[in-house]
Amino acid sequence: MTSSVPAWLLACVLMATPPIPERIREGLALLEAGAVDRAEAVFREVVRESPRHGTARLQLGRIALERGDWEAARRHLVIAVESDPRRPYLAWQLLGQAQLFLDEPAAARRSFDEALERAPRFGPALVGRAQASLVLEDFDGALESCREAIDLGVRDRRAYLILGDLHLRKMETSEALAAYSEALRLDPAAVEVIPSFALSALATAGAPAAAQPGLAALLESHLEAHPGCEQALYGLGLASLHAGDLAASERTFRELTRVAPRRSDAWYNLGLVLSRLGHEGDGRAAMERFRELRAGEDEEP
Amino acid sequence: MRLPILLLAIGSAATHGAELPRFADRTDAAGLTIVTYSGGEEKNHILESAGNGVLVVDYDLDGWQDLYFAAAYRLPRAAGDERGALYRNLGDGTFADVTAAAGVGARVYGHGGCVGDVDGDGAPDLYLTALGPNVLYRNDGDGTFSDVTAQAGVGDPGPSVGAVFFDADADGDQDLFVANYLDATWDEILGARRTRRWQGKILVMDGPRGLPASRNAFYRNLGEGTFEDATAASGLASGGLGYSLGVVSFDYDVDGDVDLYVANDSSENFLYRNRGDGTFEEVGIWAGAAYNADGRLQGSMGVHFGDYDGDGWPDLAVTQFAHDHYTLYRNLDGQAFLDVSFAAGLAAPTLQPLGWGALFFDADHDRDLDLFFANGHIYPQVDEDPSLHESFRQPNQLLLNDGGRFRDAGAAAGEVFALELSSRGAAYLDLENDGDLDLVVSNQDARPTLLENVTAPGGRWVMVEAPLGTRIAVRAGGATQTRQSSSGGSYASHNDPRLHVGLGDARAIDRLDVVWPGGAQRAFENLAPDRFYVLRSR
Repeated sequence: MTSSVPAWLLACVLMATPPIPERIREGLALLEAGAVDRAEAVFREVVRESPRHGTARLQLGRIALERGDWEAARRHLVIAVESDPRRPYLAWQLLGQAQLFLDEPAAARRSFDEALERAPRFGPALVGRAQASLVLEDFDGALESCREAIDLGVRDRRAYLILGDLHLRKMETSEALAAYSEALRLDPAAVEVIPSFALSALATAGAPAAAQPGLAALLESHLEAHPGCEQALYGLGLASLHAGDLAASERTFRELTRVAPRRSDAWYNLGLVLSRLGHEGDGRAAMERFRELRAGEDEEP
Repeated sequence: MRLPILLLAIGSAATHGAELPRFADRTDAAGLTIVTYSGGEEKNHILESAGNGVLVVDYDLDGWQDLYFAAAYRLPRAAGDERGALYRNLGDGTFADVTAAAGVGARVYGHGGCVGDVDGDGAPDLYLTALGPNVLYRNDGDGTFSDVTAQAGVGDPGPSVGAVFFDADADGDQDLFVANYLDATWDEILGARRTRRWQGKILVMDGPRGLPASRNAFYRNLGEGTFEDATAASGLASGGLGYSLGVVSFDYDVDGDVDLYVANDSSENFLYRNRGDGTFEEVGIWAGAAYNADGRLQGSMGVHFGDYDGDGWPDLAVTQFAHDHYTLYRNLDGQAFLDVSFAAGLAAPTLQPLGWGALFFDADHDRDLDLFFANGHIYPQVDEDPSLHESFRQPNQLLLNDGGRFRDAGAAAGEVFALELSSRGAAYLDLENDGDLDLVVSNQDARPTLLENVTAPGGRWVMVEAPLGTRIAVRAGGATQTRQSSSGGSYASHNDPRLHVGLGDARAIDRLDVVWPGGAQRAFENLAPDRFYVLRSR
């Protein structure tokens, strides 16, 4: 604003702009309605006027996190935690998340600790703390936070994925598989991030070890939304094979070899299925492809 | 061919009920003092970690199973530790070292071997695998052996680990398959240094990747004590080169001839199907028994077969490297195998240990086959880094079969299962001829362990002595169990040749079906349990 602006015009502008609390409510309503861009514009306008407005910074940080702009998220959230927003623990937790994405696990854990100091039973902060501790190789700390979150009833797939990883590191396979299984049950999309070893284990374990209502059903539901998901196709193909449904298994592995033609495990299992179905020529061709791909993998047990 | 069944006079009064099997360490009492050395303490070369097997053999035909322990020796060499040892079972729980008297003290860098009757004289002969050349000891029938390697033509240069005698061509004599690990010279072993970083943490020996793999060998028995190398002609080289360790002979497709499974370290496992004319084709990958469920190579060490699910088809258990599960291949129909390691509960308890000897046997006479695994790491250096969650010395495992799913009995089966050694070969035997199966384990750079089955008297049993390659089906108490007589198996080891079957609380054996090598069949009905039976042709 410069002194050259006529006073009458300035008065008009100020009169046309609602007060900040009203704009914050408007921004939150827009967020609620899914109008993220418009909400962001509102919050940006607020911070232009009031750069240290905690709630606006927090919401801008959250929006940036969802968009994967970790740097911007951190920039907003660092101000948010200093500006005493209404829910400081949330700002700290979100800052911790941004720092995790920025590969700053030590800073992230400190942020999660700040969040937990203000809200000791805040599940997302416990899960975040577990995640940061895992990266920092503080496995006991990670396990403690994870278990606390789960005991509090947190239904976050990340908690179970972390728990699975922690058990796997200690070679506690059964516990690891139970945790991964629960992660899948909470969110079938977890299939994309669980270790392939665990997916294979769950898919070949059969009932009752597989997740209820059944791994195949979970993976099918995920595939409806994400038809080309390699991991889901692989898990489903294996599950079908081990359930004795060779036709379904063949279908799934064929689709997988189309989607991911360089996956040797897909060709291997397709070869097995075709061989069992009596399609010897196709089976041999699949196995030859498997061997070609495997030769390039230089795998060592 | 007539197949009389003779009743031997050993019975056992027993109460019958479900008991957790238990084993007790009888090594000291038995007087087994040999230390089976295997190279230097640092294990600079992979053959120094290959360790040794143990052969169960009633060499003097007195009805008591004796033990031959293969051994390598220390590096640097020390006098007096450079031979395997034959221990005679005195029948009272003790053994006597008869190595010198029996003439089986070959000074070789030994790994294991197998037992067979190469000349058909009824006395078991010994084939010893080694850094090479291997050794064939002919049993002279008077408690002594003669080294007939040269005239027999079976002095394979090795390095060999597993071996089996089997009648490949159904001509009535026993042929020989030898599993060779790699091409390494003595100089390479002596000169080796640790140059490889494992898991990015510890400096360990090289191999087997990067070292030259080897071809296996098949020696056809020509009769009169001689063999010919028929590896190429038999098709038993068709799998190509591999780092072969364990081998077992069995009839996986139950078509009346004997097939082979070869466990390869870091390379594709081989399943050789006998075409019925003494020639073989390698079908491992097509049968689903060469890789794990993900088409991933494993570091296979030992192997054994057994019908764990009672469907009549012999299944396979294969021990593997650390940080990988052991593999249970379920035989679906005599054509295809399925890796059911997770479904059968085998994977979880075996992900951490590194396995060698593998044994299917009914530890508690509850009419299903349990599993024993001999474990131990190959890198002593794992003890230096706790973050690896590994140890060089590891407990062995007894996994109990509970309706087709296995669970690790742990130390509940005896303190011996908390004992940590670096074990390799293992075999079962009925040490005291009391009708249950005991265990003997070879440990690297240590004395062996002899585990007596001290399970409270429980289910009934039957043991059947039959020629190599015989298949039997025992029907009792509404269930039918099958067994096959075979050579070798486990890891570089050889089991008590008598076929053991737990009968639970069955009061009688309703029927015993016998399929003789060559296909002749005979059935016996209403046999008493808790007995030893001997099947002989005449």
